[in-house]
Amino acid sequence: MRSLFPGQQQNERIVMVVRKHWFYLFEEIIVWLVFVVALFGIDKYTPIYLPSLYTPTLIPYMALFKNIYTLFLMLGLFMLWEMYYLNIQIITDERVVDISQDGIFSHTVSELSMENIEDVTGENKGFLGTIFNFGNVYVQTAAHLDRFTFKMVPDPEDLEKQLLDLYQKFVHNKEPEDREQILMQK
Amino acid sequence: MGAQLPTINPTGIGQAIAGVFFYVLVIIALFLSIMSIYALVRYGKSKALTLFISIIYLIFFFSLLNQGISILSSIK
Repeated sequence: MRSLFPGQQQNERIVMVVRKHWFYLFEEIIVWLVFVVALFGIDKYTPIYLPSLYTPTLIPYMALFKNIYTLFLMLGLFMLWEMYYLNIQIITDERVVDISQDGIFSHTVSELSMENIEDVTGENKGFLGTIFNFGNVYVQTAAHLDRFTFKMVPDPEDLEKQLLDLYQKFVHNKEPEDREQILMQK
Repeated sequence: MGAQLPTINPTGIGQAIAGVFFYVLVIIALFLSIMSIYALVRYGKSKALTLFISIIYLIFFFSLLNQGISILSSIK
């Protein structure tokens, strides 16, 4: 079986792979579109309001500027999609793995074992979160100091239930003495 | 005798300056593109999708680059 993340065990079952809700990518693309509209705006309005930029001498310079601008627009779109695609959370029957790609040169993998889960909270917040059913899921660890956060995931209520079910199954499948130890840590 | 690197012969100061700016920005964009593709190949789960998106992107990139070089040549 092909491993989805470093350290994945042979008999570890992948339950689900979670990405941010499509609305997150949509928001990013809307911002990108502002820059696209700016380019069209430059093309449409600068000949009217800045005709001195459209003399025969300067037209190739304007064309070059627009070419470079478009090049960086394409690069921006590619990187936007890549950041969305590479940021995932993987839930297995033994742990939760958060793979974060915060930039081209920043890749972080965090893991949380099922036995360290203390509490799971799912929330739908805001008008758009309610309409499109996305929100955050917070996984409180046994240390009570920090929590694992799934941001802008689809159907947070369902994810919360699945995580709790997995935790219950994980504890149930343990040997009685191990089970007692896990429960005593709570 | 021997291979020669292509030379850039700007015909005027405007073309020379525009050329320098253009190629510096292209090198930056190319570096970021290569690094992005590397990260995608290394960390992406679906190799087929990675390859497809990368090829589409590179087609657009080199088309725009080609267009830019043509525009640069037309600057007097």
